[in-house]
Amino acid sequence: MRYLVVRTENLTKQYGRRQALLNLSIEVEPGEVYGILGPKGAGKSTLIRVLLDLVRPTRGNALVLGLDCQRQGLLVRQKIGYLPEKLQISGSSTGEQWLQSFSRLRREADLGAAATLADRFELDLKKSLRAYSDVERKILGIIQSMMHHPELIIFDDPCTGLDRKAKNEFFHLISEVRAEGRTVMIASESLTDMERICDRVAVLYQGKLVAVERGVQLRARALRVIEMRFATAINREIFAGMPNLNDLVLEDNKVRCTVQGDPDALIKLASQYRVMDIISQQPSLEEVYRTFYGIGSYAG
Amino acid sequence: MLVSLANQALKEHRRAYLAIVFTLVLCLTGVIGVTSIVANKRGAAGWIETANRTLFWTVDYSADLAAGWITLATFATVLPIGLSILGMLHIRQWIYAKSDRDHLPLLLSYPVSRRETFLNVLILQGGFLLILAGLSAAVLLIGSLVGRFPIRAGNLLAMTVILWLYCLFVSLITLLAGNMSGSSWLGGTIGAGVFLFAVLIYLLPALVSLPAAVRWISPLAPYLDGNPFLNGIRTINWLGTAAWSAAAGLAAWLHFERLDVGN
Repeated sequence: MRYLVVRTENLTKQYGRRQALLNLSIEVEPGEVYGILGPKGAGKSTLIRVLLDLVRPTRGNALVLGLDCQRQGLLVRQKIGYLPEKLQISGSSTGEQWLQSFSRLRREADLGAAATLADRFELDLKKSLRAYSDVERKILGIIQSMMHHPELIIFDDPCTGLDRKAKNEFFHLISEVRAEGRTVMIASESLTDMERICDRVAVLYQGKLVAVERGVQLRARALRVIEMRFATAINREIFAGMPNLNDLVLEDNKVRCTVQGDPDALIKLASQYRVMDIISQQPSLEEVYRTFYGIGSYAG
Repeated sequence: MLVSLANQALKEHRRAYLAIVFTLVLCLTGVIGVTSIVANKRGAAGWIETANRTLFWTVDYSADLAAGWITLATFATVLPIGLSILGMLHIRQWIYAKSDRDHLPLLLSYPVSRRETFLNVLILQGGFLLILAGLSAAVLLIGSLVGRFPIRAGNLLAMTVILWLYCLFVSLITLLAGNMSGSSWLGGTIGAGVFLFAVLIYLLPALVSLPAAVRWISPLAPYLDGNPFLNGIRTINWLGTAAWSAAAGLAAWLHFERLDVGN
């Protein structure tokens, strides 16, 4: 049997009548960045908590780094790093002391790696926890999850709350971790983040696995809503030959449409006219689910 | 809705609420004391005595005036009730407060067993025990200054341990009920119900005789067979108390071992 960093088989978790996970089977290869994409209530955090033995599954089993995550939970947790979705950082101690307290739980005293990571994020570890901004607290959480050089790092919604600079640094770090052959799992509601960094993405919906997509596939299928304002009114016919264009709406000199995949052809076409303004945005996850997986509106 | 709002307010302003509870307990004790003194002075029980008997079971104010309101029956009733509420809030703060709910998943994602975590909670309880011991000592000191209440090491120990077990019992019930139902406010409500039931068990023996089995299993059994603060620790049902605490502790630990953390 080939070695997998994470393997779940028919993982099911029920909270009373609520189905958090249903027969979920995933396989995470060594050295890949594996995304878990889904809206709120899709089961992303529950899956992660099962892997960490914070939550006990109703049925099915999960292996992490070849170990049973329930029976060998302590060994598993020795080898992984985790950033929870909600991170509570408070108190009068400094960032360095906070990291030290967690480091001691692993019987490790060296904070050298933590200091290096803090330098990269330009985070002052001598500051009191109270003085940290929300972005800095999130960065501190990222540092605590990576400072012991774990074989597997699990991030639950790491990008929410990060500013652009910190986010870029975070993505650089993830790339380096991948290059070192270590494995990363990222749960997020953001399709943009998943497209950008993940090798493969498990798409969850109401506790079920809808699809496992390659990052390049996601990027090729990415939907963008593009709004353009021209100097003069534009004829509908000029867009007729574009195969990846949908939901075209024209109002005098304004054009709104959805583009699937590469928007290059549309931009080149538009550049033949005088463009006054252009806005590109990602559609909601709900729209993506509806378009690609035929799933209707979901309840969080 | 109201319970939910109260619960939210409790989480956000727990220190203020603790202060309010403390003040209420002191006020309640004061009211009982004053009414007892008035009743004693007038030599007539009347409605004050009836009210006291009904509400607080403060019948033991036959001593002289000042000691009247500091009687141990008063303190043995009101103080444990007040401190039980305090204890319940104290553990709620530790277990249910948002900060701790969010902190626990990160802590347990480290190579730390749940048994270790649970033992740490017990160590924290040790700290709470010291606070209770201080409070008990203060009460005993006031009692000895104002009334004829004897200060004995046994009294201090009895009062402290009983108050602590009482707080712990109510807290554990709240915790278990809350986790089983998956809802902290529902757990709090169930806990409050159990608490009221416990108070009734405490008060009922004065009105009707209880079966021996109830006396044995009740964590309040120490109170049933006499006043430990007057008569010393010999009157305490240590076996029943120990059995209850051990069962409650074991149940809490087993539950914590199986608890889904982070929801």
